[in-house]
Amino acid sequence: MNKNKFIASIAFLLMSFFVFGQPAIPDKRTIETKIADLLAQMPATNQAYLNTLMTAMADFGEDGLVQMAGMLTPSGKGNDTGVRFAMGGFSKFVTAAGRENNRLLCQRAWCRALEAAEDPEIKAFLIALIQQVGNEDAVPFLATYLVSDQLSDPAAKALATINTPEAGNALLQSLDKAQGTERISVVEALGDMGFSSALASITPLCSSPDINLKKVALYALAKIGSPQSAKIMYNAAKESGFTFEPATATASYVLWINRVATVDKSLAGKHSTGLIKTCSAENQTQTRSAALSILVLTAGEKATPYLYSAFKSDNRTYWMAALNLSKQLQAGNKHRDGLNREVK
Amino acid sequence: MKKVNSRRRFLKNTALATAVFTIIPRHVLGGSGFLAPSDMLTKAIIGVGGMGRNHIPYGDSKLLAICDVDRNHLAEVLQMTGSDVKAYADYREVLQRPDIDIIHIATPPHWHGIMSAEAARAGKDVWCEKPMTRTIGEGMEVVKAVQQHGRMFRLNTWFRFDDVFYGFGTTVKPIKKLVDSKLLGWPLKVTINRSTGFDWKFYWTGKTEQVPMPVPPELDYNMWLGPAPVKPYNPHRVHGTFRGYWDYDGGGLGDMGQHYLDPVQYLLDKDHTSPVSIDIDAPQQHPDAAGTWRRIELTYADGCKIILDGENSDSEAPFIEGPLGKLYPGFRSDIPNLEKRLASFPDPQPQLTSFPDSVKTRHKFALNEQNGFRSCTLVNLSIIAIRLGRSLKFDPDKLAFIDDEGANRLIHQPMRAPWTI
Repeated sequence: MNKNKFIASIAFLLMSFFVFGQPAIPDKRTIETKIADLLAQMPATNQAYLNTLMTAMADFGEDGLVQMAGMLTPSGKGNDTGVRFAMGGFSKFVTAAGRENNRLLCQRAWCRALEAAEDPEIKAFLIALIQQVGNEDAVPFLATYLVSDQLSDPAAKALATINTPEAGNALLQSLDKAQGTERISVVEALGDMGFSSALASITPLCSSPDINLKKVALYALAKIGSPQSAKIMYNAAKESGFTFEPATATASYVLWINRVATVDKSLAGKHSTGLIKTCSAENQTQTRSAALSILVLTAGEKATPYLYSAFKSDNRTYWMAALNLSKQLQAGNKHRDGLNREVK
Repeated sequence: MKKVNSRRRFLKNTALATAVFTIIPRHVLGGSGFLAPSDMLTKAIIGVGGMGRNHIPYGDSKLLAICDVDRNHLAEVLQMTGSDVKAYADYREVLQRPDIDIIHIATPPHWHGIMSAEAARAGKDVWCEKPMTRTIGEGMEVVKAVQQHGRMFRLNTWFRFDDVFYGFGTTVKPIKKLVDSKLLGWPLKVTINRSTGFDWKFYWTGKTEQVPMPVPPELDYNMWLGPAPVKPYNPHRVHGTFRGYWDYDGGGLGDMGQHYLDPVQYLLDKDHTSPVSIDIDAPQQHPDAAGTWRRIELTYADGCKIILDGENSDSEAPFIEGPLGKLYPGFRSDIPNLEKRLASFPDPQPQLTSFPDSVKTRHKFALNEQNGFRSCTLVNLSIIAIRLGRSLKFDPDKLAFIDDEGANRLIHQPMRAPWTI
């Protein structure tokens, strides 16, 4: 090397030192030390610091995160506050846009931790974290708990939140094995998802003597919104007197009409007009109003005769509801002026 | 109408003849939904451990029933109310009573959505404590249930139409008149902090370490939890201090947020929309226990801004600031001759501020399910941003966060079975 190149190289090295700082020192801390150092800084005092710490936590890798999760202790049996801050914070951090790789890392770690944990309360905590970050890859881990007395509900809720075909199928496949409160959780989750493949399995449960099972089964059918459920939804609501009772059959029927309107307006219209005609008792006014509301939404101008009829009702609650609904329809406005003098 | 008119004459004549005020439940009248002005409304209160007791004299209505999951609360309140009030442990039995017109909901917030929606579906009108609902998704369902079933709804906060607005020192009415006059200009920035007259109650924080304890025999903890996840019982999770836990409420923000933010929403004429961005400065939050925060900025599409200044770092800030002027507590302003100039502007539109009148006439109350949903959304947007530890963008028409699935998963949160909304 000639003299000039040597001087240039030294100058470059010196410049690098001052511009880029000291050369990176390899982090030789053990994973235990890294975890302890991070936990000592929990909770982060601001957003920027939180992001720095969470980025560092991602560098622990899957094994490191699993190791940290292993430090969770059941409530009242140790102080794992820092661990819960860290795991909760990381779960939220990875759900921001552009952090998909970290999200998958987080999910894998919490699923492994879930398998390893023994205490139900810790498992429930992990399931809640998976609910925040999970996708279809988490489904097999969660499905295991659908027939667990204490964990069925958290697992079912997590699957409903993930809301993929895999999640729905896992819930459906557990339906035969799940009993008692487990079954109620599974059916409700299928309802939350509106999982149409569950229709045949859930339908028989609508006549269950268990009022909670009947309730969630009717809810699920309502959310699925299949025309095939017409008779069962109508009969359950009719049995309840088209008003409120703990199985909420009428609410489910109204919801079903709302949903079925998206696939079969004529059927929705038939059930709406049926309710309007049937619910003439005062304690059914709210159901009648709901039916009229759905009719206006789905049938448009064709609902006009029912609005006119409602305006003539001596039930103020009903005709005021109709008056408000008529704002949505041009035709209904003809009668609004006439009724203004009544509206005090 | 003839039937109604003859019944109105009957009621009037009966009152004159006997000079006794009679409560005639509507179901006895066999009525057709008509309430004469002289009919007294009837109510039930669900949740009588704390705020619910304040509801006893509300609304010029007769209390027929109370409901609570703590037997001791029921016993205490029965001593206050007398023997013609019936006590219940299950609110669904209350909803099925045909003689009750209005349901007052004073439970912890995680129950507000379900009870409001079910009350509407049961044909009841609703008077609900704030925050209106624990999640944005529940709020959407309450709006749908109330409107679809033709019910009346009011929230239990009133500062947009009544009372001195906390430490600001005046009612909201003259502030609204000033804002509407555009003398301050537009857009506006509103600062809510100790100096402008508002305390964020940061003492409502949760405990990060709790020792599980036996459930006391008087409490039905399973029913108390309702739609919330099962967590080991500790007395700090219930009865007032529930405010410190995300599962049930949202700390001081959940407690006071709608009291402070609803009038501001009204002042800024934002009853029909929500902010497009939420920016926060806060320490990291625990997954279970609500903590403190420093600052939240809610910005609307037109540039209007609401600053929640938890640490009072802007102690010199006016309450409202616009490009043309500022307004400070006590209605002090840098606009010369403000009162004289303001006198030439119209007063704000009158509001319906009697809930019994709302129920009887079926006209919406001043603070109803629609504008109440929007002001509650201000609280819930803030809570979501704080919990996630990041600023967020929101679409106020789609009611969804932009490019943030983590935030969107907090809009609709599945409930513990068998509870649904």
